[in-house]
Amino acid sequence: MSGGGAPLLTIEDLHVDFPTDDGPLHAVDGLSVDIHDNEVLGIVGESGSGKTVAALAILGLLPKRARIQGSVRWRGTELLGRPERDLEPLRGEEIAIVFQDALAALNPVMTVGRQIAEAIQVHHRIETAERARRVVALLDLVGIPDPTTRADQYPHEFSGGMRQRAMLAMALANDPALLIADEPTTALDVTLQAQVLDVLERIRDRTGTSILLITHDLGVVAGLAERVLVLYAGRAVEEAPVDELFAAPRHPYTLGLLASLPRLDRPPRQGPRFRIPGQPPSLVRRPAGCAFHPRCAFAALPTPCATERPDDVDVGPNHRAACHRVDALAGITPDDLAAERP
Amino acid sequence: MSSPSVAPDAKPARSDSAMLEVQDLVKDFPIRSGLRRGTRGRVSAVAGVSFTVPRGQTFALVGESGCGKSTTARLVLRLVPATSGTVHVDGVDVLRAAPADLRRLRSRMQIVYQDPYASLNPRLSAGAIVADPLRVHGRFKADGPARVRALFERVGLDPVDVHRYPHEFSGGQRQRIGIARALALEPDLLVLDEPVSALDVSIQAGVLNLLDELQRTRNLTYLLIAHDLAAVRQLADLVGVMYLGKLVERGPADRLYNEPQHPYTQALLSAVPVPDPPVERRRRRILLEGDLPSPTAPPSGCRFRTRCWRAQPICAEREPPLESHTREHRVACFFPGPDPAR
Repeated sequence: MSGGGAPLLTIEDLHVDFPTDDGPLHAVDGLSVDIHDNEVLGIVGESGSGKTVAALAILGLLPKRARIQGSVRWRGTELLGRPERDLEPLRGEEIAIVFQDALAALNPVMTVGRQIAEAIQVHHRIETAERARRVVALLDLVGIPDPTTRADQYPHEFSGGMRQRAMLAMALANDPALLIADEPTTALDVTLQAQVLDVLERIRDRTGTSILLITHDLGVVAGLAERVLVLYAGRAVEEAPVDELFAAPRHPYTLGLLASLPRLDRPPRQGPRFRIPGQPPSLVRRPAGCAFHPRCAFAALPTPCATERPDDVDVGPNHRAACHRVDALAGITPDDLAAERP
Repeated sequence: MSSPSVAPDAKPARSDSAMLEVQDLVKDFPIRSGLRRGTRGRVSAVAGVSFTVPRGQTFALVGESGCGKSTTARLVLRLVPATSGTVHVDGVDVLRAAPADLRRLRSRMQIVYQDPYASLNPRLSAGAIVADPLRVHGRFKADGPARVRALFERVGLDPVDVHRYPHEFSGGQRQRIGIARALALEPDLLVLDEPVSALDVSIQAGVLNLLDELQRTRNLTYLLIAHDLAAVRQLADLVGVMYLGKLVERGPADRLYNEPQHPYTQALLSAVPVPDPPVERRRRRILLEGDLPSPTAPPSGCRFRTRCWRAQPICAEREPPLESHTREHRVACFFPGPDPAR
């Protein structure tokens, strides 16, 4: 949808089911999105929205019992159904991933520099001097001061923030085309979070690596992403350039989510806060029609919202929303909704 | 009693009487090791904390992991014994109360825990969980079941669900069960330990609304322990920022958020992303260097000086007292002042 040229990664109508005693659990339910060269795509969703399962599906890291359908293409080549030995060179070399619990990835008895050098060596046979230069350049890229000295130190000699940075340097060791960051700031104290956001900004601004940023934190997306995809119950409900998504969302879930966010930079409103009523749906028994309709203030009931699954509607350049009622939402901002008393 | 008549739905007048008064509270944990379990040092978890919470108001203790905010809450409830200092709840000395008095006092101060998955006994029905405090205090009489149903209604749960078990409820509903349990004995003081941080954003607003409404209708006093500074702004009248066992800044929420004076408060606030792309792109994060020092050997003088960009020699020599910046706003810093990033 955005950018020029062929996409780096194409996800088309991806479905991931897990068998359960109560029937199949639809973790991802028809997800389509492209990621281009040199861009930051944010995927936002609450627990159970399918964002992490989708990321694991890209890398072929889902457990065997998962039933996967659809298409995941890397530079035009299908990845789904490929044997493990075909995917291995791709991981770490072209696509790198960092998870929430990143610190567990560092080996305490090996210098930081050597660990990064090993990550390079797994994929490339280059001479020692060149490799050492590359390690220092990577530490510098992620904002570690005095990188030559730091490369010879052990993880325990690094502060928590520096370890987060070193871990990201390792993910970047082979200059991947895509970095998948799955909840990179969740469970970190805010001052550590700030360090990670700083590195991701450096990667965005100084390298050609695209970033797929998976998070539940709309604040993180606001600062880093250029384009945002909002997931609800395993499906993309809205996709838009970041400024437009926050200022003029066209899906009632996005609108409600933004209206209910507490903000650090604003005093609380008088009276009750806006809230999305109800609970996220069961992924085993999805509501018919639009999965959001039981919680939606704009739903036209019963038809079409409770009976027909909404298609994507283009509402502007690079802006789509999967909603029957996109027209009813035109011109309503999250602030308007937040000002309304529930 | 001659009180002026008030409209039934009006917020009760806030009296100036202190519901909770904490003075110079200290908690050292001994470090024991060796065969004879000899004391090898002390962890200074809470190092002289003082604050007052007027009846009907919310005081929030904020800070990162290990700052001592949760220990302070446990000391206030006398769940762990204090090393020194005093805690008064409605004028009664909690730390020196005799067992019989403490039992009476405990019914007036209750706690709501962070994790609604871990804090509810999975083998008790929701109704039995809420009835438990009544039974423990011998107050589950003939009207017990009716009281439990009334509590369910009070927190927005369906009284029909008293027979269901915790796993049948969503996260938001479980947190409401925890709140109903805490309200059962009609306490005056509620300690809220990260009450919404385990919940999805779309669920948080409803729980925050409930807490507001309960405070308004029952004149409850809240001691809120939280790390999410955006959510804290929604609830708190007063805020205290803790670092390594000490309050570094304390004051009315508006003052603290709009004009933070302590460098640590400024760093914390700068690190929280704001869900507004143009605003977030303009904001500058203060990145703290180094790690939180060990509470077994805190730095001399100001405990924050090892990570502070304003530190001068005096900061290592003397400990800055928590002094008035303006009337209610206090800051423990030799060089307080506005944040240059703003």
